[in-house]
Amino acid sequence: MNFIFPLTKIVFGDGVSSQIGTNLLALGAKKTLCIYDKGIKDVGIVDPIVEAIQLAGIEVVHFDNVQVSVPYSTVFECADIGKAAGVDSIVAVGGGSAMDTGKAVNVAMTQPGKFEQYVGLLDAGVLYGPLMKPYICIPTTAGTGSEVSNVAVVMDEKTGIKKALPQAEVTPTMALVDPVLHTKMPPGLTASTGLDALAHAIEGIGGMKRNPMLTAWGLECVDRIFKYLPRAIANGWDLEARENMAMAATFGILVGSYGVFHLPHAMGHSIEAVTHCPHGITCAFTLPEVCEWYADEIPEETKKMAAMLGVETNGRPIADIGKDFKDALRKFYLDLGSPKADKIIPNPADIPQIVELSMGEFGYMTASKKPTKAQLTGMIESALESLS
Amino acid sequence: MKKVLRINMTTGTVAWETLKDDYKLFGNRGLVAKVLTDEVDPTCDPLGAENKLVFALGMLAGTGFPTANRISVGTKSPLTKGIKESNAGGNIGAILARQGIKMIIVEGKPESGMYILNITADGEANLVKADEYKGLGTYDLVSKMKADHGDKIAVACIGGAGERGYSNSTIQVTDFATGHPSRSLARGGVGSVMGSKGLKAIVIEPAKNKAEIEYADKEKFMKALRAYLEVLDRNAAMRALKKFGTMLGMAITGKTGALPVKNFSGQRCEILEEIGVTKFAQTLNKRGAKYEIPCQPGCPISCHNTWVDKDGNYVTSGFEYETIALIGSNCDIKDLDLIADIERMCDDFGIDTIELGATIGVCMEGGKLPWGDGEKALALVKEIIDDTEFGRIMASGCQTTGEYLGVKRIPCVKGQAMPGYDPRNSKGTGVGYATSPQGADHTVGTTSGSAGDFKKVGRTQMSQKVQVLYALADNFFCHFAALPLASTHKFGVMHIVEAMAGKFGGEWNVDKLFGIGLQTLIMEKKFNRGAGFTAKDDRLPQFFYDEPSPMTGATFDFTDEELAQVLPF
Repeated sequence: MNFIFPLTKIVFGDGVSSQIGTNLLALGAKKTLCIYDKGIKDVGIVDPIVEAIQLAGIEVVHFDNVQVSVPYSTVFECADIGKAAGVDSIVAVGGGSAMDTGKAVNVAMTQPGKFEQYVGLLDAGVLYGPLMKPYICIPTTAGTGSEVSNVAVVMDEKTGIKKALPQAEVTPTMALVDPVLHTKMPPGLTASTGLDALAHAIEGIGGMKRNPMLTAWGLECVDRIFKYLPRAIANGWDLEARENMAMAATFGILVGSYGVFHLPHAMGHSIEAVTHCPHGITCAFTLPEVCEWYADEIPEETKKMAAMLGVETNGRPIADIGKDFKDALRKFYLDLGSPKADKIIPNPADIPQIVELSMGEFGYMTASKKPTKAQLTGMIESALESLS
Repeated sequence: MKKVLRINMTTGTVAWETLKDDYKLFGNRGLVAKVLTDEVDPTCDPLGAENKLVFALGMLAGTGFPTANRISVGTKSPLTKGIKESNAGGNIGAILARQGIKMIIVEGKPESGMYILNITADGEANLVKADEYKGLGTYDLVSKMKADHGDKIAVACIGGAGERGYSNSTIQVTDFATGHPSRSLARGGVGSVMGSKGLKAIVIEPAKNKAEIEYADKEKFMKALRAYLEVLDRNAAMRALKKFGTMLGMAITGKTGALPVKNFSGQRCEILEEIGVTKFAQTLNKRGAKYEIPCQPGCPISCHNTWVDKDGNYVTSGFEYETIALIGSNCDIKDLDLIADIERMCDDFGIDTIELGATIGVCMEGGKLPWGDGEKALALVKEIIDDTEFGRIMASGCQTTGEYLGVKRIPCVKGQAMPGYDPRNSKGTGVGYATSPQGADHTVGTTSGSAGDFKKVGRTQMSQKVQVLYALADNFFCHFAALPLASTHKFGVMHIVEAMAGKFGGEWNVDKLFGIGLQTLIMEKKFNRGAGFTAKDDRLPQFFYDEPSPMTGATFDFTDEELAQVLPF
């Protein structure tokens, strides 16, 4: 068993985002680049945070133009602003796009040569850690987990292809996880980001680099998501639900990224590329089918997760438990009011292209139990059918 | 397993001998060194009757120890003019072991004609006239041999390059997973020595009766074997090798600048998106090509692969890092399919892809063709096959081609081209290139170009350590199976010690084990001294000392005194 955890300092709890000023001071910051988008500012999340930074006597340089999927042009624009102002630290407030922008900007601002050379899964140039600026994330969704993960996803808008920036050095220095901020999320976003967190935890439990510590975290995350995601959707102000979802998201990504993602993300990315459906939904889409497929790969874990959804597991063959777990997971998904087939893959003629793309995904290469092309197609068709 | 088969090509006779007692604690590379130092005049003409060609199995061949069935071939190299050992996997080791044959020594030289050595299922060795196969590619030859002798045979053979005496020629052996002659005894022009002896192929049928393997204490041996299997199973590098094959290396060298770019310019590779490990693995998956397969029976690492074209048709197998590094990034050619086509041509004609890639690199540097022009590179390979004048120059290797073109930057040591590691950004590997008796070679002891390898600190000591370790591994198993010895050395090595004690009996300890590697190196250096090599030959080409790598600023900054300390015997 070999593993590396390049862990972020996690500060968790109601209201911790107001501690941003002292935390920046502790990192030696004098001038910080604050990254967010206008939508987050409009709901009133940004201003108190900026105020808290300024109260600590730290100058704030604003970048309020975060774009979905993190195009290169945004990264360069933001990095130029940061470089020109001579910032010594970075803060990102928002969801996955804002936090990934911060990671990419940290690379673009500090590393020698072209930004593009550091992008790519296994072939990226090595980042020189000591050059990176201290970086604090304040997540406003409970799903992506980017605030503690070692990877950012950026988009080369010339080709429209999303690429990963996966190295330990991009891991944020600190995450201020404040569940109160999540109360501003609408139900649809709560559901899709929460399902993303579920996929992270479940995939990590069966990932090629899974280990018992991650599995323990993963099972706890899954349990909490099953219990609290419906509550967070039903009542956005349910602080207990928000707190548990925030925890599941932050720890779920650690399970997923260190255990290594596999098939649901491989298919999810590919569906996204073709139909532009939200990330969390596409990743959750084939999750039930993959769980059935993985049942004999991780039988003990499958039994535990199935039992959480009320499946009888005592003395039954693992294949039967896997099948019932698939159905229970699908019911959980539907009970959340999540999108049906027509919103995910409106045109079934796209399936061959999606399968083709999936087989080129890193998540397919790393699957510890690998399906054939036909089996992969079967999973997508089965998921579509159950959601039609 | 004690049988030694001696083939005299001058008289056309075969003779059986028994392995001498002082040969028993050597295998593969060590056995080669033993025979060459005992029997061959180091000053001889490599392609003359005095030189010998030795095929040897490992110390633990036939026992089922992981990767123990590799085959080595050794001779005085026409390329380096020194001692040479090349090894490969494939099915031949297992089939020779089943026959109970430890070693085949080919000597002498016929006046004319081509022969095939056929070892039958009953264990008879016959030298058969084979003029009709002259000029035949290795793939066709293997098909014909299978039609005559059955599908389960093992073949070691040469293509046109070996027949014509080219210094970049290989001996190809049949792969276990596909049955094609896609595993290469590649380096040092060993194919031309086989060609000079008029031997087109060795064809071995699986023995009807499996030869007995002797153990001093079989239970002890099997216990150690199982323990070492577990060490391999727990090793993260093994798991990654399964998924990505040897191309995994590019994920490291591409980052650190150890990957050779544009004739060892030391620049950062700009085409990793097209030829890197991600694209490579993506293509394998999308096209449904087979990977995670063993090149020799029972290998738990299974880093072998096949490459198929866009329509799913077989192109080649054993498509490895070194080939893609030398023909790809070193020539700036960014088309994996085209590189695979060249690789197939090389396997079929019997050309070393490392020597070839470096040769094309100096051709590009010399203005013979533009950087990155894959089609023109392929046309140059055709020139070798079509026997044009420039083709013959290229076939003489990278050094000769570079000198002919007046190129100042020729990446060779002892006449042999460097494999896929820039010696400035992988300094430990560079020290190995300079000091190894085998010339610039990736199998003598790479330090893999991981981060920090462009610094000088500790690299001479590390090179010494890995050269001895790899020389030891080359006596009985695959380098990848030896990786745990480099990382979790003290733990895994005791299982090997136990296995040796179980197989051979007597007292064994770590010193005795590593002593095998050390003795191998001592014999090799002795042979080379006899051939006229001195400390002056243990240097890299001057440009590595003078030109800093643009990526890291590193030069190869070792003094001759420092290099002389690496293998001080």
